[in-house]
Amino acid sequence: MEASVTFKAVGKAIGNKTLLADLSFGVEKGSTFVLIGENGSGKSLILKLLVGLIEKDTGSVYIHGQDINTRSLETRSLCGYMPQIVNLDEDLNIFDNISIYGQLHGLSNDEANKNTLHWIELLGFTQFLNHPIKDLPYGIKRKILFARALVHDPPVLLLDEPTTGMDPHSRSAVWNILDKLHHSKTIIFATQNFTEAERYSDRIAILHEGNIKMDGTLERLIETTHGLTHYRLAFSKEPPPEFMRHLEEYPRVLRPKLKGLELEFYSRERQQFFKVLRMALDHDLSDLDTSICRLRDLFIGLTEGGFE
Amino acid sequence: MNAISPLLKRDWLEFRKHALSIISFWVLMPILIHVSMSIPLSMFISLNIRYLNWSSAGVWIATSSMVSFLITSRHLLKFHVESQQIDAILQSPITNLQLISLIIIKGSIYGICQFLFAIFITSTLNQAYFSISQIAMIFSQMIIIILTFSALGTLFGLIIPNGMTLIHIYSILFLLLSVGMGTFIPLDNYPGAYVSIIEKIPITFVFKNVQAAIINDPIQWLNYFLTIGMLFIIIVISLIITHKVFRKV
Repeated sequence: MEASVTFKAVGKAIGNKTLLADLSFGVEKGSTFVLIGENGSGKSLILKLLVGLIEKDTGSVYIHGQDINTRSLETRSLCGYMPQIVNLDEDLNIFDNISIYGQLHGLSNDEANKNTLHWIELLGFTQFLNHPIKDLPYGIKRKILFARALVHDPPVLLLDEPTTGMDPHSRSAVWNILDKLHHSKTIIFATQNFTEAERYSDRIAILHEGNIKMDGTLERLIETTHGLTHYRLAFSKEPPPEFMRHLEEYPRVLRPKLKGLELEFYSRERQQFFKVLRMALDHDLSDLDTSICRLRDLFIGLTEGGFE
Repeated sequence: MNAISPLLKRDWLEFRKHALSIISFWVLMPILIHVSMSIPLSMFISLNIRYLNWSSAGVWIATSSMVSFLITSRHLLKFHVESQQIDAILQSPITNLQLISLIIIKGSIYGICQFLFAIFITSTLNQAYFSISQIAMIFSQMIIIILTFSALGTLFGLIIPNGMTLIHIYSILFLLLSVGMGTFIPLDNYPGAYVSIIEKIPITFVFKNVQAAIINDPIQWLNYFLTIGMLFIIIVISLIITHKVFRKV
């Protein structure tokens, strides 16, 4: 498959703080690539760098084979960007907010108006057309930003936490559209929503302190846990401190954490779980839950020092 | 030009939304300065020509320069600092030069409109009449003043990301334009040391050129071209700063 976006040893620092450290990755054309990371991990920075809002210090970035430094105007016109913050123009109405930005990306007045109408209808906020921007609900503002990113029909879509603040209906409308665009556009989105990342990604990159800790398909990422299982035990009263001390003596019970009346831990061996369960039964165990390791568990494990 | 025309359309839509308050400002500003500066000063200053006619140049200069400076610096403050709207523009295929050119064009258009309102109002109030050549000469000088203050407003808007500081700068600028640069009080009334400093600024002579055009006196073209040079230097400095400010290097 042909590369749509390529990062080669990209570095960015502000003062003494390293924001991106020797970052390299590629995104194939027509695929959906998800950036997951805690606040300040560099997700938004990567997207801003792609649309030229921030300049890198070192390395190279290519969009559709064109260097974003030497062909910045061309690469920017290939991208549709939805920022995390709402930066709509309050002096314009909803229609002009979308249409003008379509024209900025080279559409004629008629094309921009036609596309604007199309997205307004598809995203279902026609009834808000006469409302001043500042009085609109947050979710609608996010939908306008989404439409603005799509109005010039860019081959690369960059979405920074696209569904944050949206109600479930709006969220599903956005994902339905993205589902339809899947394979025809390269979609890169940053999120902290693990369910959406698992559901809509072709590839996921877990970012931590400006670098990719792990990336690949969801299945491959889960495989790396080698059958790690997440266990949750609930107690009707808090277990005594010696219970936790005993637990720490089991080397294959990973990351045990007692939060109030709930104990969480990971293990690759069922036998270990049975041992803990036997102990727990002596301390008012009220409920238990086991689940295979998902993206959320992997993310927590990776960003908090690993499972070993 | 591709990226500039949609943004000019955006500015037109913004103007339409606030047209009443902007036009009121254009009308009231010259009247207010005429009433609060020209009329009281006419009682103390005597010149070879009627003071009110001479000082109308000051009204045009002070109002249109202030409007140009205010529009450009406010535009940048609002777009860049208050709403971060500028990011939506910067992500499109627009160069920094196109963007600051657009801001300077916007400031200049507002400044020219202010000048047209001011010249009409002062001419009506003073019953002054100008020949076509006089108007052409006045306009040629005013356009450079307006462009310079638009560029200066852009520069200040880029380097000062604080509304309160900008308000202080507006006050200082207004004081300078009205009482510090010979627009309402002839420079012969100031101490020699101050005049020698002020006369090192080429735009002071462009102000004098506007006053000279009213009474058909000769124009000093050297300082006119020096001001154009200064204008280019301000644009180049602004362009260098935009790279640091807009793209957050």
